Amino acid sequence: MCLLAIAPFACFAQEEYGTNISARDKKNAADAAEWNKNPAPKDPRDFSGVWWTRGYDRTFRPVTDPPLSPVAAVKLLPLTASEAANRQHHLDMEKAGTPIADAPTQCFPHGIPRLIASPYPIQYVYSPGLITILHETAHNVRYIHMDGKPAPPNTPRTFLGYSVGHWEGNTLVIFTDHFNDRTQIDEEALSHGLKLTVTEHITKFTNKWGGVELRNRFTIDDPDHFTHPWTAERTFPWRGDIRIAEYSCEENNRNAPKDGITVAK
Amino acid sequence: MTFLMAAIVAIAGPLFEQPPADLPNLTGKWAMTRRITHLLTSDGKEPPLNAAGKAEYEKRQAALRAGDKSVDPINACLMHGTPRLLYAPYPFLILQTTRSVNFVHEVNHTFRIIYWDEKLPEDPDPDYLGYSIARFEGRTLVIDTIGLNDKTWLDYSGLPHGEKLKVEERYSLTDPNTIKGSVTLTDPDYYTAAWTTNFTLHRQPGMEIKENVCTDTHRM
Repeated sequence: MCLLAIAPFACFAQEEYGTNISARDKKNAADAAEWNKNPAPKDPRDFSGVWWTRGYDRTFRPVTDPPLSPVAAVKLLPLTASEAANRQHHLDMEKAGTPIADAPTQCFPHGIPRLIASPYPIQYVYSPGLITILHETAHNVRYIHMDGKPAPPNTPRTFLGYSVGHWEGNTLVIFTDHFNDRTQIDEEALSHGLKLTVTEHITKFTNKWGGVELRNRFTIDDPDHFTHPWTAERTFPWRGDIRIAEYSCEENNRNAPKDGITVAK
Repeated sequence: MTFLMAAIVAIAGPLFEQPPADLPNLTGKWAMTRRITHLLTSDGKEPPLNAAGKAEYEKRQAALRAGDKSVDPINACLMHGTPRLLYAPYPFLILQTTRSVNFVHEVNHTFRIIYWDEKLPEDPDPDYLGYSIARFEGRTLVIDTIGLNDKTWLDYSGLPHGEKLKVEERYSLTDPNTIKGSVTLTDPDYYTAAWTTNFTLHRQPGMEIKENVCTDTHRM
């Protein structure tokens, strides 16, 4: 039981993470019914339409079975010594009220895997030889090349890299490289360099509330920042009830950084 | 041919939400056949600006002539708006599906997702790209748009518009690699009558759509 007037956080924590599982189940089942009124495509390899990750988490942590608490999972991050120091520097700067500017604060594309954490809806679009993922957040666009060809010679390094996809059974596997080094791994503190590669495994499944979701398990490999590859996860419920809205980062960008520091106005 | 299609599916995986065979399929990479910086009517005349339109246009033209680029909203990396996005000198994808028809532009990775709705909303909140619906009229793709803010220019020369602007775009495949298109603009705030301007798109199969980030590369 929570006492709203005395300890509002306890109410929030219970609602969000909870001891009161049945209330959360009830809400998730009601959501799934609402979102399924316009149903998700039936074919397990048909991701076309709109999906939207739940909630907002500024960090990626290694996936474990069984799942660990965030505090325990963070200890499993395979950080090199320099990345550990770099991460601490990011945390310290944020604590001091002078966060180091992340690419999206300048309306740059978020980078991969950073974009996967964005708490805005996305739409998959299929066309011959290509899957296009349209992100509401700052109108990011990902092109997943499905023609079986590797990145062409002289492919430039970019914020979102060059993505090649193929199917392994009902799982869409996306390999991305050719990144620049101007984005972060996650919003909180993790960085990467030019050696970053990301391999995503995206599978459709039905959750216990009758809703349909995509699970994206992505493996991050950058030997200059991590001692070995590690895998994190996000899930994306089907959202038959919504459409992607216009998102203009560039209009009145109140997070625009000054000298590499984000200055929220 | 059947073998080739089967081979493509084997590599690329199955395709979904594809348009029915009896409709023209506009999916592909496209670009304007020539750079259009100033819109003219389909019979080659100046657009029918009213007094307010002429005044606003002259003001913008004077600023541009004086070298003041800041008057053009795209120089602040704001979205080009509808229909100006079409005239940006960059290629774009049309992705036609049963769910929506999508225009994905290289320039500042800007996209429009247009559903096959039958009706426009009564009074949508204005934004840069507006609220659009799509339909086929015979063999022609027709897109109607309202709900546009007045912060964008119609073209590179500074033709103005207000929030009452209605845009009708028409796209007809005249051969597999050519689209003849038109844009009809109705805006009582700045024009004396509705007017139509034409364009031609050519398919660009070999062209890679690049990552284009205005706030990174566009320095004034």
